[in-house]
Amino acid sequence: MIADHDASDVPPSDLTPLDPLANSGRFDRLAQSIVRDGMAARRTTIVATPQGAMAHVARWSIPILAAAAVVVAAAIPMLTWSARDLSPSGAVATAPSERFGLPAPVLALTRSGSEPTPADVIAAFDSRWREASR
Amino acid sequence: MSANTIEPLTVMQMGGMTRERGPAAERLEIVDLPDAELVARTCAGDARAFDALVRRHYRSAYAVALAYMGSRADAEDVCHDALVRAAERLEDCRTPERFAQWLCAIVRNHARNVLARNTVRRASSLEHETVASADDSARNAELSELRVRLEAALATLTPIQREVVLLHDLDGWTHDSIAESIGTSAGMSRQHLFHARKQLRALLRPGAKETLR
Repeated sequence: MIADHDASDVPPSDLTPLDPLANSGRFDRLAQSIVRDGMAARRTTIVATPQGAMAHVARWSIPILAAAAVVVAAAIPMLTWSARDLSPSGAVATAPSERFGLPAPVLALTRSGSEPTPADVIAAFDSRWREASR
Repeated sequence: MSANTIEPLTVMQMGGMTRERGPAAERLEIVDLPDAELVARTCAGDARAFDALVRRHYRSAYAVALAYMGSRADAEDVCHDALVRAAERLEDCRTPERFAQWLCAIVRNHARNVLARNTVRRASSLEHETVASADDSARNAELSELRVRLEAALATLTPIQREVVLLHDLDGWTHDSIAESIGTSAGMSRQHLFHARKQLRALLRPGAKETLR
């Protein structure tokens, strides 16, 4: 068990010879050298660290990208599920392009092997838009 | 605790004078500011605010450094580097109203690193810069001898006893502040102070001179 000593029972020794502030001239020089070096170090650190609007953008870019990735990851299964439910024929879409709602004429164009003209592509999408607007 | 004390030299410089606007008056106003305000001003680039922080807390930093390093010269080197590092990382000080504790932690870590590397640069030429008169020389020699005896006596204590006795008896910290700074209880701080004082008195009494050699 530790005895509850009272330090005031023993008077303190005189530690003033160790006091760094006892010699005022010497202490002034020490303090000035610390302030000079400290402020110089601060300036160097500030220059090395990007400041202003770009620094704020850089600071927020990683969390924003992470949040966007989470949103996209959560949205893909939901989009897939909703695309299947909205399919006009009621059939389950199997190909990835079908899952994302690409119209059949467009798929036919991609599978045909021949190079479609711009008019073919417009016509293929147009059929889908006409279908949707009905 | 020293965090709330005004550096006496600055007050003496202004002693007996009315407060006028000017560099000295501004400095006096700055030394009155609390630590949190001085930290904020230093972060904004005000060198005078950092100067006030250094003057206010140098003794605490020195007490911790001396507790680890054992000699005045090494303690001053550690203090210099730790305070420069503190200036550099001032934005990391999350509780600026407790700047003294934060600074002492930096000093402690730096002193441990220096001891581990064992590459302490010897004191700068400051020690030898002053051209002293004959009276000063005699007084300096006496002070120097006292300092050597004190350092030798302190060397016989444990590092934690040294830190407690120096913070308490050299810089006037309370046991609560010491306990918070070194991560112990106020009761243990009292214990350390009791044993440290007892041992120092035994070693520094007139007849004990030979024991320290």
